[in-house]
Amino acid sequence: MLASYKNKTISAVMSVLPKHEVDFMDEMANYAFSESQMKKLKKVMGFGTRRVAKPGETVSEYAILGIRKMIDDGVFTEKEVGAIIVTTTSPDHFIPPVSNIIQGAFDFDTDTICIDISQGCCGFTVGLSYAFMTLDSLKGKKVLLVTGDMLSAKVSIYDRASRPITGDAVSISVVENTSTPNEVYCAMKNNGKSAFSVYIPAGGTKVPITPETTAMKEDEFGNKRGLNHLVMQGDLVFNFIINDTPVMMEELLQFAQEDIRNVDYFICHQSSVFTLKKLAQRLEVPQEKMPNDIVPLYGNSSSATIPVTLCQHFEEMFAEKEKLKVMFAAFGTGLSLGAALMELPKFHYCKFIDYPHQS
Amino acid sequence: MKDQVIRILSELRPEFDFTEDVDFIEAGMLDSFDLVSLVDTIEQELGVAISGMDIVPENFNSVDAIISTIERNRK
Repeated sequence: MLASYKNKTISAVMSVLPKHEVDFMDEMANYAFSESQMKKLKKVMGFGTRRVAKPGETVSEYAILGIRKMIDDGVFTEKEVGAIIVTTTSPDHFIPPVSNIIQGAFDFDTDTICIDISQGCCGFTVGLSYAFMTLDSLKGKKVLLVTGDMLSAKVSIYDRASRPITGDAVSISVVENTSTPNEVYCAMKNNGKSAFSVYIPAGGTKVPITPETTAMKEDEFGNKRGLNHLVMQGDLVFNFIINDTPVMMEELLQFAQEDIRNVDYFICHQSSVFTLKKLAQRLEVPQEKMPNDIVPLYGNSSSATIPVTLCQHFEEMFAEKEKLKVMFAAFGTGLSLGAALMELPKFHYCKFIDYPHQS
Repeated sequence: MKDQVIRILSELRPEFDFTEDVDFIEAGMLDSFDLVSLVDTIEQELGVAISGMDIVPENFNSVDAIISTIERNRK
């Protein structure tokens, strides 16, 4: 799907990260790697420190903390919020939706639209498309786009493929109409034939959690997982990213009649350092235009990595310009792809806060 | 280049003999993480960028396949 929307923008971003930090080197003993392999992969894949939520912490709790801080800082008022769109694969509960929990925590109007979208790493770009669509019905009100996951708890501590890169975070992006002419372009693609290349076998209605699904088994590579844990076919997913993402990005550029050289930044979902390095090479884009340091600093927090990247690099990105041509691009569970191309103004609020864990 | 490739492979997984005429992937001598490490080492030592589209098992399952991959990416 390719679509364009008139006069939409992002006006503020907040990322809420767990204060708790885990260092890859402290977990080396859990993985079936030699020490030399570990050191090599630390550099190549970006295994570093990752922010990890404490057991029982939820997407809604992180979002509520962030939204409250934004209201306290005067970014928006409760009356200005017309919709809450949440993209996550780790909702607090089956029922109720996370967006309704967030709505209930504030004095938002009862006609506030609440939408939960089950999306992982593509959640920011998919959610952004839905936010743009929703804005046409909201008149002057704003959309709070909440993106993020608490997936650390769903990854086995003995899974060397996924555990060293998985982090937790939740971001809130304020999306709104603008009187400044600004056409934004969006793309979404899906390949459900590969849906099970990233999945959690147990915990839904198909395979309920039982003592049997909790038992861990070792695979041929020495990873130990239960059926309650996330499992990923890394090679298949990597090939999907490298083959299909650039095609989607190029189609979007063509749709927008924009030359790739005019794009100032490519803010992509950060799954691993290696993947983004190869993606930049494939697109023949200088790595400086595609920030690639979130995994070693905070971990891959699924649909939060794009707004986390914005928060990390906002000042340097806008050091010399008041507006930038930015392409957001993401890939992941589904398997899904999403992208958005837009002129991004230097807005006045883009920050991190740490989530203060209850001890 | 053959000796250099065998040396890189042996440093990566010293427990295996990469002069043997076997499929490195099917024999379990290299897994997907080894491919990532191997690509990075080749890029550093030989100054060639391996296209992400070429990072598939069949391009790394023998010394000859690895040399072909390197040469293809040099062009």
